[in-house]
Amino acid sequence: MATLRTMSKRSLFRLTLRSLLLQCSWNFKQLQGLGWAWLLIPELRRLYAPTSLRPIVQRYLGYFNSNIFLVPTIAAAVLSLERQQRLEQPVSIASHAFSEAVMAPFAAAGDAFFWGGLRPLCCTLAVAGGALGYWWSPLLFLALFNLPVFIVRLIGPWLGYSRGVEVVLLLQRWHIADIAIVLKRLTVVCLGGVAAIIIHHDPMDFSASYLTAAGVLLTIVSVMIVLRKGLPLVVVLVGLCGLVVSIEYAFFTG
Amino acid sequence: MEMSEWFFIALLSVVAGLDRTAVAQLQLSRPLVCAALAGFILDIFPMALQLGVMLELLWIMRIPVGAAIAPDDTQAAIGGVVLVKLFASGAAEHDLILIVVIGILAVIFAEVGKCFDVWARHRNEYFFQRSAAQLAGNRWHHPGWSHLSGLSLFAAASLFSVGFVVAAGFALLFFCDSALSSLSIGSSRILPMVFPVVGIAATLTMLRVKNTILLLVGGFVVTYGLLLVLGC
Repeated sequence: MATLRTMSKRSLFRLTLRSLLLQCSWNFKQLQGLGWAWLLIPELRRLYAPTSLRPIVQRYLGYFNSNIFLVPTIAAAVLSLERQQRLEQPVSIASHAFSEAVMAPFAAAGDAFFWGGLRPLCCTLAVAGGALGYWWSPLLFLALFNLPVFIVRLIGPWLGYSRGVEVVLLLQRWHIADIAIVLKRLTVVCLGGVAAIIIHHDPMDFSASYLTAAGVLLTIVSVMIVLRKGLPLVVVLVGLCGLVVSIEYAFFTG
Repeated sequence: MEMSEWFFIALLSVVAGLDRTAVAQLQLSRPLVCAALAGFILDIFPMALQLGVMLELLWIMRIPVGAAIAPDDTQAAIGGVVLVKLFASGAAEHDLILIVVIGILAVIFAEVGKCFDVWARHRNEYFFQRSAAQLAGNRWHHPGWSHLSGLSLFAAASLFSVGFVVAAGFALLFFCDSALSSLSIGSSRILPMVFPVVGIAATLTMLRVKNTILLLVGGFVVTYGLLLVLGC
């Protein structure tokens, strides 16, 4: 028997937990498609009678791809729309059309913030800790990255379900893209810090030389230019190692 | 290595491999984290952390967006730590060069490991087709099982990948060990710096931020000054 009560906080939490397994069947044709349908099925079963459920689920069983941390938010908004449609209330956009319309903007915002901004910064800070020899640097990385992720995963579904279509406006209001740019700039500053730590902590005597510092910075810029020309990373890495070994054998050995 | 160590490395490989795409994405799959965990299991934590730092810097900007598949940095890092355990001699200079050489091998083998990941993702298309057929037959519980079956493919791909890294790396290092020993006599000054330098440059290339050089030099000068003042 289908029921039309709103989703409880417990149901929304279960939605978040199910979203952790969203990409189990990731494939090149539908990407997260099967996981997306699987995520919605329990609540759809609650809303619709078994006889009318199949066409509803089939609407969602196709191509889907978005940022994994924002998918619970989209799913909750879609389920809110589904409930309104089931109650025959007026909706500004059909639920499946909404999911198709918002997956790309959510993916762009989420990927820019989480993958392009937050993760590089957390990684760089952890690498700086690791270069200084702190054993807890991997734990620092996990904590720094996962704290905002957990908040978004927990609060997102609640916002999505309560605001419905208007959840899209939050992306604009929170200036996620701008925050991502600030995080990227911070990452560049921290990378400069990592370079300084590596030179300072080098066990050899020449580490204190300012000439070495200038040499390392110049090498970084040169490698950047080479990589921007499109040379593969592996080739650059092996080439530079070969060059260094040759120089060391020529000038330092013996 | 003991059997229990092999078992825990295989377990770590599967858990980190699943975290990479299929489950949760808590970032246990990052080279820094999984190398440190592997080092903890194999009781070579400092060397594993060093390898993890080197590999992490190279792959910071390999991001899982859309259908782009990144090299398998997770299994490359775990396999690399296993190789360090198998070939480390205890001599500091030799082991430093060993870590650099294993780092280079890991970077190359990660590209091969990516093929197993791609294989799993192609095989997952079958599960989608099966789910659609099951749904058409009104079998509601089956699409869930089809979806979760993908886990087995990702787990298998992880094991294949780490197995390849360890086997190929072992074969190469076994025959090149004498060359490695002669290399370690005179090449330990600048060589360990190559990975961080290339890693930082690769990350900056991908970040594409305005005034990159200015920000980089600013961060460098401030940190270097602080380290000198604090005497760290």
